[in-house]
Amino acid sequence: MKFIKAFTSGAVRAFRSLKALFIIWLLTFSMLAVFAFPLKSFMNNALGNTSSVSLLNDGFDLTYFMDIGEAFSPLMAAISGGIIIVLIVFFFFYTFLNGGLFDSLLENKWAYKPSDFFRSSARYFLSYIVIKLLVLIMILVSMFLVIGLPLIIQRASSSGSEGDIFRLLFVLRIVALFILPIFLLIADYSRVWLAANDYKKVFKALGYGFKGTFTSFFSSYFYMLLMVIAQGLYALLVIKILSGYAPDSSGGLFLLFILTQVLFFIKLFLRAMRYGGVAALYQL
Amino acid sequence: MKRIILLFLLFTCFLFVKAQVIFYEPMSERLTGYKMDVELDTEAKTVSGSMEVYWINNSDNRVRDVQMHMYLNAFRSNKSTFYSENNGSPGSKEIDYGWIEINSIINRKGIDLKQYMSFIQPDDGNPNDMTVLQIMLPEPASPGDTVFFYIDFTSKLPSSIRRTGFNDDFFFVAQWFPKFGVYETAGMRGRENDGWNCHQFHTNSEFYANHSVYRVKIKVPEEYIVGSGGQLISEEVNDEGYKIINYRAEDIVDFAWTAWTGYREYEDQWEHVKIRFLSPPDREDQVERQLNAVKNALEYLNEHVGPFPWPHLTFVDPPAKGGGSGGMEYTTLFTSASATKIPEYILIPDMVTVHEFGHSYFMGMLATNEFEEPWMDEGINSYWESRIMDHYYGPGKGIINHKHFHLSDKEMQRIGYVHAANRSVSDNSPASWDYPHSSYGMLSYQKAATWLLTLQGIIGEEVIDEIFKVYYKEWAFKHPAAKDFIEITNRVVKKRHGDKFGESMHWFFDQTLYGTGICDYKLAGISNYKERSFRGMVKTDTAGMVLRKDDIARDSLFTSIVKVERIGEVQLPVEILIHFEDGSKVSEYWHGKGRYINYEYSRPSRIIQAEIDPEYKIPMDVNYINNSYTIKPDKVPHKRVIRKLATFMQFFTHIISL
Ligand SMILES: [Zn+2]
Repeated sequence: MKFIKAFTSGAVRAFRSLKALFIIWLLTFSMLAVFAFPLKSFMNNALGNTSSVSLLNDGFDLTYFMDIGEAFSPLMAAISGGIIIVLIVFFFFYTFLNGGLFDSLLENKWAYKPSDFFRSSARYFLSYIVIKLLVLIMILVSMFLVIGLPLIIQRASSSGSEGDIFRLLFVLRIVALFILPIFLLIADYSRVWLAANDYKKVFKALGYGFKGTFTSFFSSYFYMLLMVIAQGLYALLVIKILSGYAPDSSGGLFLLFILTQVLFFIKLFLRAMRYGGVAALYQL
Repeated sequence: MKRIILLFLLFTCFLFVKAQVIFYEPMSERLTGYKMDVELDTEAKTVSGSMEVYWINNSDNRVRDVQMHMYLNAFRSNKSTFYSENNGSPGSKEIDYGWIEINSIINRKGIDLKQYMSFIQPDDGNPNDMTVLQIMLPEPASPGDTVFFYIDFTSKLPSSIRRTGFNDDFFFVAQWFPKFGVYETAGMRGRENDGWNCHQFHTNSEFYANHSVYRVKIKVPEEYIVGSGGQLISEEVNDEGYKIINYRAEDIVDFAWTAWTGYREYEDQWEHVKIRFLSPPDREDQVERQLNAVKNALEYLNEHVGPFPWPHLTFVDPPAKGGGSGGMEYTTLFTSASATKIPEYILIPDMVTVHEFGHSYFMGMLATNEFEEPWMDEGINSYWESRIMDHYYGPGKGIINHKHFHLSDKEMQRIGYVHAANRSVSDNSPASWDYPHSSYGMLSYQKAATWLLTLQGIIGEEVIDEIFKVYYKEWAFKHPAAKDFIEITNRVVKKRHGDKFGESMHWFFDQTLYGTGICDYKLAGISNYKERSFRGMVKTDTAGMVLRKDDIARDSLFTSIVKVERIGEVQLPVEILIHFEDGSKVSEYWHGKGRYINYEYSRPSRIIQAEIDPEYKIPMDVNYINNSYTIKPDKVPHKRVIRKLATFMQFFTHIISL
């Protein structure tokens, strides 16, 4: 069964690429620290010696943040502008690191060298950006067609009641969930092909992305659908864990830090497993 | 004598049979009254029919004219004052416009008054505004006279619902009939001379009217469900498929109604009040909370302000297509605002219901002039809304009550004011349409609510409750003004607190209601010094200059100083709570007038923390963060927030990276 094989091989490949995953974690963590550090010192300044931080202990209190914002409104503007920059920077950054990761997953061996990782990252970077942007556009357009358009039509026909809109939205979301794996498969097959063949031939890779997705459609599709659902459930679990844990001591803060990074590493692993499974399906 | 004849007249020819009477003793003077017989044309979007109305001249003057509001003419063109002020337009198609036309008008003697009619523009002289009608009387009305009009009119509803209008088969019929202005006598609300108070319809303004009796007969197609501010007298369906409904209402300041085929009807009871609730079919999940909200408001205001006298109350949650009519008040009819699936922890629908019901007190019974003193309805009502919400839905959680995120109604009012960029642009004295730089809502709702909460913090909840009880007792079913509220505040504070706050509370109102300054107190710092024993050169007889070191007995004492500053202009009394390391606390009270004050202590233990206004009694303070100072700040909570935020970014950036 190709389908089962994708899971097992995906997991094995992700496991054998732990070194690559560790590199990714380390680099993204340091990047994030670069952004978070000034925020921390700004907060320290803004708060001075106030004791009203205790307002935070009973959950997120809006008053508190509004009053900080009042004193440091330029900072607030910087943060909201900064988030856009962070998103763009990380978009490129992950695209870069994906090159090495796909290479490592295809190689599928423990002895994979960090130098190879960075060489592949650099090589595939431009092509991967093109693939990613095109697939993102495909996703946005299809989401608009699947969710946006029916809602607009529904709104226009004023006979539709509010309840109908909610029911429609529910159905549309399910439909979107079932469509999403197709685009992810196209993105992943394209990238696998590119890493395994000629890294300059972006459009040929994309062509293969479609071909690979639809040749053995059912095993690919159900594999990806299950991976998407698994990652979604994992995200819910993380939200549950982190919102429930509010340490009030420095020791607790350290534990929170360890916990968040372990959870994030598992997230990285699940993603690598998804890619690895597609790599396995490609190589079968 | 004339009065007696008049009352007799009212009870016989105008107010019909005894069985329909709601109050055996009128709650108000009832200087105006309306009897209407109208039909809704659901195709033409008009309400037309006839009305018999009266106005009693209770002044000592002979009055030469009558002024009436023709509110729907605000929707007559894009040049009306209403649309000039917001740069908008009623719409592009003929059906979009709204207007009101008097087809005929005669007095009791049968004289046609059309020739005596003209539109006037007392507020802005805009010749295109036709929202105030002046009718010169053929003979002036003498003191005590009752002026009767018999009017045939047609009201076309506008399509863009701004409080009033239609959308498809949904109708909200408000500000829809020729309505008397208020004839004010000298001395009333600080007026110098007698005269009509009849303002044009403005974008940012509500209304002002006498308490009246309404007898309204409405004809609609049978399939329509109707709700109104009246008590249902009768309802019958005729052979042609029309429903004819008779309503009666007493001592309310406005009569509005709604008709829609889609309403679901719910009923509930709170003590003597029969509550009727109309809601769209898809919002079953919101019905119970809405009914609970209105019962909570009824209970709280009855207990803290005064009784709600009417035995009937109708409220409406308009469907999405009638959203423009949501959140409005007509005393015994009001509209809420919600949507299906709003989770329990978001209390905004409940808040709107509480707020709009609250208006049955603050402008319904205490019929202030909303045109001229909007803070007296919106500000006072927002103040009570915040108390009710935070009382029933949890202190600190009256607007959002989620496990990880919360916001109280009081804080929502405060944030709206203290973080507004234009918070100092005006005081609370302008007329609604005169608030500069779009500050009408922020200043008349949130700022006023915030300084009322501050007043409560200073004089205490019991005292402010007494002020409102007296206010209700002396002014319900009358027309109070700011000066009346201030006068009662001065009287009650004096009675309860003596001279603690000076001769009167004018110092407070001058800084808040009539002031634009901001309030900000800051805890500037804490210093702790060990008190030192002597160490220095002394001249001795035997050895000349020698170094003397006293023993260290006094070294166990600390000299500690708490430094407090007033950064804002507003001067309010504040409490300061000082925490010593040994766990003891000292509370200080500062009149708050100087620019700074230092508190100095000599104790064996040093100060570790100090807070201005520890119980958050002064919500006007624009920044709470600088109200406290601790020598060992707890950095854990905000580090935790940053850590979680960073983790969120970590996951989010990864998820969107495909
Ligand atoms: Zn209001």
